[in-house]
Amino acid sequence: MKQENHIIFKGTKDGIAIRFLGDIPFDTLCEQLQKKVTEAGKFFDNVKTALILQGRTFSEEEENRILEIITNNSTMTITYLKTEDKHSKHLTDLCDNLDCTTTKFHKGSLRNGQRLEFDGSLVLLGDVNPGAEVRATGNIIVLGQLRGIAHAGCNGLSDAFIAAIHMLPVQLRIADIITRFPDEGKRNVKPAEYAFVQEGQIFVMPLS
Amino acid sequence: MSEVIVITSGKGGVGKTTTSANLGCGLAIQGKRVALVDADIGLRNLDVVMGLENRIVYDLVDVVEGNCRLKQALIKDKRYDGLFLLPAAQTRDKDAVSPEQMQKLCDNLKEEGFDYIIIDCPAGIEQGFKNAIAGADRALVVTTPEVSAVRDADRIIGLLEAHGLNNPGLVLNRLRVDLVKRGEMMNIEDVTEILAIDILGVVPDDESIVIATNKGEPAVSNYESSAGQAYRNIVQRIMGQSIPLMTFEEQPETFMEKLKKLFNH
Repeated sequence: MKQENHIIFKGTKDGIAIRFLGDIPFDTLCEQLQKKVTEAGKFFDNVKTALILQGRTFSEEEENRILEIITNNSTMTITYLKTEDKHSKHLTDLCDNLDCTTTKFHKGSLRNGQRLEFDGSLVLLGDVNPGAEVRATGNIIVLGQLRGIAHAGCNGLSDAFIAAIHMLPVQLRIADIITRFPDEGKRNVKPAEYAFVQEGQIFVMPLS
Repeated sequence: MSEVIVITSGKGGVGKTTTSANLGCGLAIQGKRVALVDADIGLRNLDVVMGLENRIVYDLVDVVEGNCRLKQALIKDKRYDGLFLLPAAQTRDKDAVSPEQMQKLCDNLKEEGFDYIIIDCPAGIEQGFKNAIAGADRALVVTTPEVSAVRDADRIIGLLEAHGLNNPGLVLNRLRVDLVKRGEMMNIEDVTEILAIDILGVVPDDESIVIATNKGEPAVSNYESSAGQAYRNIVQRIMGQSIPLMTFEEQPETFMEKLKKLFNH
């Protein structure tokens, strides 16, 4: 019987990534991993690297077991373990899951007192100034500075996200969750960021 | 070719009236025929700043209601030929005039042969604002480097654009160079980053403006005042010349100051 390949090794800029495919029992997975690591042992000879686990979430215990298998069966040194970058995966998921297909493109900035609403997703080519408001039932993408209020998923869709080149909003709203940035201190302008809902809270993460 | 320019800001107290008076005088100094129109009905100030209060017989509402001819209401300035003031009524309110009537008034002023018609807009976004911008060809937004003034200016720019007055010029008034240098006041870039319109001039905070305004003598004619210089530059730019923005360098240290510093160390 030909065993299906459930484990793929991949080199990334952050370290070695192991992608786990399919839904197989953890023990089977460990066996396969052990085999793989032994086979590839020469290749990873004395490598010092970070390890990224992708495609599956593991408990701490399971993670330790995976680490054990790798260190016992090769001369690799794992500097640290990084579980899959949840957020970048998250964004991909958000993009895939959203069945909201209509998107409006708006050219021009929104000034104080102006409001743009759309039943669908919105891409705004311009700034949203303080006092301005963008509302969409889907996602909102601001190719400029977001300094006003953005409300994505305003009909209750908590899978919606808000992305902006400069995320400096007065307030962010996704579905019925409202957040604001801390009052203290000026927020440094970072690279493009996006906001999404996880466990009933809005998180803001860099886009790349 | 005559041009109607409305001076507006949204927020009160940022220097609309002072700017109107100074630009009016500045343009008149350049030999232009200028009409200053005070659209702040009920809270008129422009006549006081111009020192012409005691000459008022008829006002804007009288003209609109046909109580007098336009020429009768226009007050000739005491300093400059070619500069006239159309004062606002003080005993009425903004509802005494409609945007259509203001538009007609502007057309009539154009027919009088004025090169520039400058309208001093009241604060706010209600009737008075709508009246003031009704006949305008061009708008000038005055703001100070304060967050609230910039917010209001942004709102006003949006309303002007909705009215077809695109890309108004920006006058940044009362900039305090020392505060900006200490990072305690918005600088020019901070303001233009939000407002994203062309900057027509930066006027430094200058006590000569206060003195001049209280005397009814616009500072634009004061050649020792930096604010006066800033207004003269704006006048040039309104007339279509490109002049670099003023740089605000601190005065060079005097010998005594240098000496003091030496001993303090």
